[in-house]
Amino acid sequence: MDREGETSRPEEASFRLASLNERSPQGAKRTPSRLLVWCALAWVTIVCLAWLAERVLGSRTMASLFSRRQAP
Amino acid sequence: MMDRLFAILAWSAFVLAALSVGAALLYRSDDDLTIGERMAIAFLLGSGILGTAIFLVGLVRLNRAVLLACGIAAMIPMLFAGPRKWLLLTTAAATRRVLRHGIPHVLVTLLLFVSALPRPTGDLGNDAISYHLLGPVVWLRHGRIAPVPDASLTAFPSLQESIFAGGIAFSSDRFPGLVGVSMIGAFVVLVHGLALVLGGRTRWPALMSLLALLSPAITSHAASAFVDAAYAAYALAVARLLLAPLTDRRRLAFGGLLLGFCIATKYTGLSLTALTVLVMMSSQLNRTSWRYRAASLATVAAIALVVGCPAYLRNLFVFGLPIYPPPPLLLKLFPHASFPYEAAVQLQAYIRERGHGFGRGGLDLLLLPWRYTLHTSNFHGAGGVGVVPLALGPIGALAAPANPAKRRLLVWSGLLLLAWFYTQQESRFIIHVIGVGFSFAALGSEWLVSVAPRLGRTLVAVAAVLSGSYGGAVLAKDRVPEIWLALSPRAEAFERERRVPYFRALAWLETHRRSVRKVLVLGDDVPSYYLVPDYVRVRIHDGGPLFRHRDVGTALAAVWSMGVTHVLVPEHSGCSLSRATERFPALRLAYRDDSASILQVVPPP
Repeated sequence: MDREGETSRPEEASFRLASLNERSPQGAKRTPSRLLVWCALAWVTIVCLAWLAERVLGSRTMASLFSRRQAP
Repeated sequence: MMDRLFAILAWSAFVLAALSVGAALLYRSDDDLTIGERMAIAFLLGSGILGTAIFLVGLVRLNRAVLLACGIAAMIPMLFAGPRKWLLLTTAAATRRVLRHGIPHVLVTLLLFVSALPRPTGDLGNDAISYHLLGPVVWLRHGRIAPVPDASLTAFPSLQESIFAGGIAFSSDRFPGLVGVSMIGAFVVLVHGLALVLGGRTRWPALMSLLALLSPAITSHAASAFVDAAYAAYALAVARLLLAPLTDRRRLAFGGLLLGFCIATKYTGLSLTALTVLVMMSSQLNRTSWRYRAASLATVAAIALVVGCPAYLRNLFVFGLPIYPPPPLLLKLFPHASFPYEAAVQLQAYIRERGHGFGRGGLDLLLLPWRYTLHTSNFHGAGGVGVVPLALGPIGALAAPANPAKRRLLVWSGLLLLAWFYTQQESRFIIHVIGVGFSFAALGSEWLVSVAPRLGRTLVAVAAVLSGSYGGAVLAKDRVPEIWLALSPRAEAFERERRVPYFRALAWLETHRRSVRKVLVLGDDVPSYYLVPDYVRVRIHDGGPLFRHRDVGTALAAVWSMGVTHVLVPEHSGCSLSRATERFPALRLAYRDDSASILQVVPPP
């Protein structure tokens, strides 16, 4: 794929995420499992919430559950 | 304001010279780098070659004439049509692209640039003051690059400091911060480029590279005279050239050069080189003949070692061992080296303690990404890196489709992280790996949005807004006062008086520089960097080499033989002024304030 001002990367082109919908040699559409998608969505949510809680409420939140040592 | 202008002019000349050298290397290279990557890698190659040249020449002689000759030599490629045309076309294309897609990046970089203009201040706790800048100013004073006796850390590999010296010679100490900002600019371009290599499309890499630029743990040191931004930029360029698919064999040479610059910038460049070669070796199995593979790896390693070795050879000849100050283990291998074993043990203990993070156990390693993201300050990375690398990076690494470059980058980053984890867990030492994390986050964002368009897009937006707004706010809080100092000379002078230890005494010495030839400094906490005249010290602050005069009494008795004209006595140095002037009649009080006194040495009859 050519972009303005850039040359293409033929070796990488086949790995682009557009290829999520590409078909395997057998012709079956490759889609990720729903479990994987939900896990990914849950992970982003957990990290964002933990980070937000840490910034808003400080080190007494769930974010510090895994962090025994306090900042010097 | 004129010295600010001179600093900008010196920086412009440096960038032009670096791009000229880089263009001479890259203009015949036929590969798949984006326009931005070409500019960034040309700049990095050029600045590394310039720094290496200044260091090599500076070992013999360092003054404006020599530096000017280096600059003129760097501009020679512009006399030839090929490199000149390449540079003009690439610059024009890069400008068009930036105006179309990178306005936010340019604005943030511009603000960082302005915030880098104030003169550096701080005490000995600031690495820039204690050695990154001390080396260049003393080298320029003495006309030669050599380790400064009272600061053993000036014996570190000094590629970046050599560049600082080059700019300071023609302008002022405002120059190094500007170089740091340009390095972080190249770093961000490479984060974007790596995300494209991994398979991202323009929108997500652009967003993630902006978030990387807004991460205080990555960016806050860039505007000061630290070398970590440059090291990280060289390292990312190495990853881009050597770990992505090899489309041009010249890349091996360029990658080797960049690895050499890493070695010549920091000692950790040695482990970076070893691990990069290891990853290249393992990833090329089953793909090429062993002869081709061996020749490629030998080319990379040989170029890296040749380019990186000058500072190590200098240390070997001067101190008797290549790495100085040495770790205790190395002292056992080089028993005749001139460094006290106890000082080496102390320095290692300090490094281990400072870089302890949350611990070095197996569980600590597993929890590292979580802890680093939420408690970056425990790793001396105040402000953090936002939520994006942890939230979206693993998705890009694990869920999104694999490709060879992705696997190599993952292994490379993992190995570097391990080396960092077991040595010194200091946030700024690992920002190149965090940069790779942002590239993976671009891939993760793209995957998430493609598989769950509505919810995925919302979550990516939330993560980006959290990261960008918090990082931007912290960065603004940190940088806006510096921008104000850059614009107001009066505010800068006031702030300098507040931040520089013993400011008034040091200013007195600077004002009387005609009569002050050499200062004997008593006490450990006076930053030598601010001393405009030449100086000698009695004690050392970092376990550096031993001095002839190890106590105040013998040093004061030897002021005439040392050519000392003044003695700087901090109030807390433990030296009694009345006893000193009584015992040594050659000393007379010349200046005194509530923090320090200055004794004048009466010339011998």
